[in-house]
Amino acid sequence: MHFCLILLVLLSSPAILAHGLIHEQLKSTDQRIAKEPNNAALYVHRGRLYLDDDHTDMAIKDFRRALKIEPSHRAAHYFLGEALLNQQDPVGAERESRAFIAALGEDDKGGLMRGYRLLGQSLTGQKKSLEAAEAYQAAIKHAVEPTPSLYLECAAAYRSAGKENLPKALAILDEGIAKLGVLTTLQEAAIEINLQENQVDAGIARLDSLIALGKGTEHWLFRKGDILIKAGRNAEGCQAYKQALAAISAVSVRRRTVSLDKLKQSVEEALAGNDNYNCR
Amino acid sequence: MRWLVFFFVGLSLLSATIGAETLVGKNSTWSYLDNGTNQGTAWQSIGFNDSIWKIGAAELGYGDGDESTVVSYGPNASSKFITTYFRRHFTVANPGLYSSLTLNVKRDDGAVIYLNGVEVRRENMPAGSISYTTTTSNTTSETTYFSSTIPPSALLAGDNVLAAEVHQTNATSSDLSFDLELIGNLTGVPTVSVVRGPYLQMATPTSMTVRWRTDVATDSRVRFGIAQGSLNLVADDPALTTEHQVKLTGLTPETRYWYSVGSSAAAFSGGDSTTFFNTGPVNGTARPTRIWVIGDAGTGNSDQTAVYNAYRNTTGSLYTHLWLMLGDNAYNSGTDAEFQTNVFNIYPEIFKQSPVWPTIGNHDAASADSATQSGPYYDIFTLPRNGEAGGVASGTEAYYSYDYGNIHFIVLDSQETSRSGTGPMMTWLTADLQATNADWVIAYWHHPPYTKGSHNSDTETQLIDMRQVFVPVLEQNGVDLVLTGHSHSYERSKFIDGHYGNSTTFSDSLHVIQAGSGRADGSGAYAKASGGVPHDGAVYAVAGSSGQISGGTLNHPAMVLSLNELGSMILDIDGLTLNAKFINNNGTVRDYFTITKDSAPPPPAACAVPWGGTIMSGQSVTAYLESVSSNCVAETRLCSNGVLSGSYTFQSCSTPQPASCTLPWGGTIAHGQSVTAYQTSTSSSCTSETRICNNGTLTGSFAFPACTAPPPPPGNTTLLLQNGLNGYNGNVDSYVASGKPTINYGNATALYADGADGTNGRLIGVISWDLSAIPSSATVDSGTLTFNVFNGSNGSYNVYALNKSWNEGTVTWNSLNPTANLGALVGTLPAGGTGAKQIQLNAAGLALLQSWVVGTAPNNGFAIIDANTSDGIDLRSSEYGTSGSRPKLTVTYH
Repeated sequence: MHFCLILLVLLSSPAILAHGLIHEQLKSTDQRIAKEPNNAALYVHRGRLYLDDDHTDMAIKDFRRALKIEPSHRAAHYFLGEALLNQQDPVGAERESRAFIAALGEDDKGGLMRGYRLLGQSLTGQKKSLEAAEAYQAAIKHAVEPTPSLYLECAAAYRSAGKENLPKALAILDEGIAKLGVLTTLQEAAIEINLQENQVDAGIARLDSLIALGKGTEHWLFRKGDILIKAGRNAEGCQAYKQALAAISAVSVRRRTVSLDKLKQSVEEALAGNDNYNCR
Repeated sequence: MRWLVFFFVGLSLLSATIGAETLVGKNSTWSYLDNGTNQGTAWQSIGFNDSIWKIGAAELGYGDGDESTVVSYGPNASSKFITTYFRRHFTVANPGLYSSLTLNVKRDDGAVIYLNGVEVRRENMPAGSISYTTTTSNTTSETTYFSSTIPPSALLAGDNVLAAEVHQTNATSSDLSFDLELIGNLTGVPTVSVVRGPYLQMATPTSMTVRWRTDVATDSRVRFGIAQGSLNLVADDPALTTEHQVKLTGLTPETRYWYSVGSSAAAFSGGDSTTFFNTGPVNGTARPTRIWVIGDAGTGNSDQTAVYNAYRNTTGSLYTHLWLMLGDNAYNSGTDAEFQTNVFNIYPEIFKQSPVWPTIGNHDAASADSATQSGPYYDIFTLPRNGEAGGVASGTEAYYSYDYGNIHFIVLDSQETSRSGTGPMMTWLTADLQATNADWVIAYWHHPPYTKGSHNSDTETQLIDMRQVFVPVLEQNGVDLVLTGHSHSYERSKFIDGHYGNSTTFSDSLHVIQAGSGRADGSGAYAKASGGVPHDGAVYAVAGSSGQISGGTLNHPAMVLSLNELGSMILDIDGLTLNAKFINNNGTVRDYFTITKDSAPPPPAACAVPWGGTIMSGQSVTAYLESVSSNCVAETRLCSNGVLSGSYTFQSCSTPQPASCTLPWGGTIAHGQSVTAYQTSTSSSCTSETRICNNGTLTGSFAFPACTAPPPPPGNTTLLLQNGLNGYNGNVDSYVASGKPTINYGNATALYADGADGTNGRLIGVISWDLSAIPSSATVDSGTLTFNVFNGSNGSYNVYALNKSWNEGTVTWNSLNPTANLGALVGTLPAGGTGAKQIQLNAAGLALLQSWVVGTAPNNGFAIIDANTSDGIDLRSSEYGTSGSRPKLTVTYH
């Protein structure tokens, strides 16, 4: 229930993004503010309209006005933080996101997810990568249905936090895979880290899991060949190239795309370029 | 307040009482007799033979123009038949289940209804005996269904028959109407209403998710089958809920399934002739496909209804395979109540027949959140986040893809999700586009890349992002059609590519791939190559006027046509032809265009080769004029679409074998091979010569196979020179290839030597060791070369001194010119075998080593050359990973 309530706070305002063009809505909100100049929610609503209209500076003024009238207005903190982040002010965004989080209860899961994500983005903007990663992790913890983006942002923050945090980056990606399934986006990010850590076998295992899905198999096999050749495992690399070629050949002529033909050319060049590994 | 009224009105219209089953539906087919005869009473019984009666679908009658079946009133309009008879059989499994029956009858002017011969209802007819000339009490409405409740006692298990006689008020009555619905009200089941749906989600060729909402929590059951009257399959969810969601699996592709929804106790809705869906074809199979596309539709007003009705009238009985919603599906804010009022209440018929695939719009996003995948939009729709319906898994319902037949659909979130070129939506999109090989790629999202309607694609962030970031990737992968909404108008582009800037930068000469309207009966259809050719042209359509119009300048130069008109789009895809049209709220076709694709060319024919087998077009083989010849004349024969060039017919050719030679110390060597022979068997100088076999004759005269130097004086030293051993790193090597005379192979992990490699020509290995560790005053006593052979040869290889300096990183065939810079033969690697092979340096080799140690000659190392064999040898080089397998020079000196 709290989850729904906080979403309503975030996604709604008194007139809730009324139907019609933004400028008409702005005009109507101006009129309402003229009648109710101390209604903080109206300023938050107008600030959101300004954000949608790409007038971030005007939006910030309205959110600040709302907070002056009602310092505990949670949505004002959140949207002010978002606007400040857009304005390249991550310090201000951090302050507002922390104020927003502090105003929420433990059951406000949707709000906490958004608040911690904004905090993570603010900290990333200040290059406080490890703290950002921890904020993202908190966002994931509170997300009822976390998206791939959250895991990717968290992993990227851990990756930026130094080599010693790469295992944590991998762990969060694996958590995402466990939760959401074998996703291209998450596996590709994890493979990059595996290769950075010289964990070729682990990276190959991830590629194999993508290959097993049977979608875009040819491309993944080609990538596998590249990785193995680069790792000096030439025979296996050549084998992967050959498998890629076989997979491409298995696609009926009717279903051949230009993209597939280009891939075939790349595979053949790779095979020829590795003549001295008995790729022929 | 007004929306509340709409909500409840809509709710009541859509409700179906739980515990009710339709036994005979409206618009059912009836047997009827319209010849004015007196049928007495026998025709009322269940056993009456009505096989000679006519058959027709209700409504039956005449005179109103709304009849599905027109019956006869006889030859004289002034003396019409008073009575017309109707009969219909139906089946009941268990009459004991029903507490009552509801009879809804449309009859003009009056009727008597019999159930299995028992009169159960008299409508607008006088009391007493009824004959075929009895007229009705008065005239009544020809459009109203008159409802009554009747006892179920006349029902039978199994076959039942309803019989009705419809009477006119007089012989000149202008019209006659008849339709009837019989509903069985179930016993002992609480009254529950289906207040939403049923509606269909996540369709695949073998599965369908059916959803509905009830006002009371029950368990869930879908009864379904391939015949309307035989819903003999069930799918259940035992959890009590008001939000029902049941996935039917194991379905047969391209099959119509009828279904009802309800609980394990009773069906609540469906089971009638209008509640069905079709499964799609197996992915990749081309089938005629009808798609309905609406955008910005959910206003709940009469405009929306008019657009829907226009589509229904247009499509008629043609099945809608897919239904696409382009966002802003429920105004104003995408709340659950607004979805009910402005979406579910508007489209009840198509919801239960056709799966809907939506994208989120900005108004939907006012109550929903892609980051948390929460809110009404995400609660209402079940979308494939794990690639369940084809395509690559996105992990989110915010953006996803699916396949239908030979069409791949991509659905993006232009509102809530990051539109970054490096974001997860782009990463997923790239993988998804790579993975599809469908004939057609159709993408849709809410914010149009090109519009001058109620929104402006030159100034609004989401629109600019989608154009600049996503459109290039889609075009690179051959997208065919892009559908969007947001502007409340219809705008349809030319056949364009590569326009990513503002409207002022659009240029027909730069961006139009094919001029014209795309109309087959006008300037011609847009034509594309099949196979996802990049940047081959696409049409961009804004279809955001399915619920309202909002004007705008409507002058984007990319558009063929811009209309401020209500309407929706219809796509008909059949094989490699896509026909699209925009119909307005009156059903008038206001725009249409066609895109066609070339059929994939047949694969080029293979060629038979003279010695059996085939080669593919584009491949070549080497053929010989004769199978045995001293010069083996060859040619390359190329296959070109079934035609093989050239004329030579032999797969191989061998030269006549010249005689071998007998060696003085026994044994033989083949023609062309050579051996080292010594003048004496023991000598400090060990003078030798190379004896070559030439067709049975051995050159030279020395007769000893080996020569042993006198034992060295005591105190000699053995030095092992091998890269990686004891810190030594002075061994360099490479090979040079006559067929690739400018290529350097200094980094190779192998040393190759070959008399005639098919690809690289003659291969010669070169190698040297740094001997600076040996004192210049030392006397060399012996030298042994050790090579690790990993691909042996059936011929032998000679090792010669090299007379020209070279560098490992730059040496090539041309720079070394090896065959012109050979010195003395210092040893021979015998034929055959793999593994470590040793070559004992002969006296010439020892003298060479000595001169390098003393410094009287430059150390140019050795060359490894074939002894006239074309069977190559492969050795591990100094770069090989395992140091123990690298080349080694063992020198003993004192």
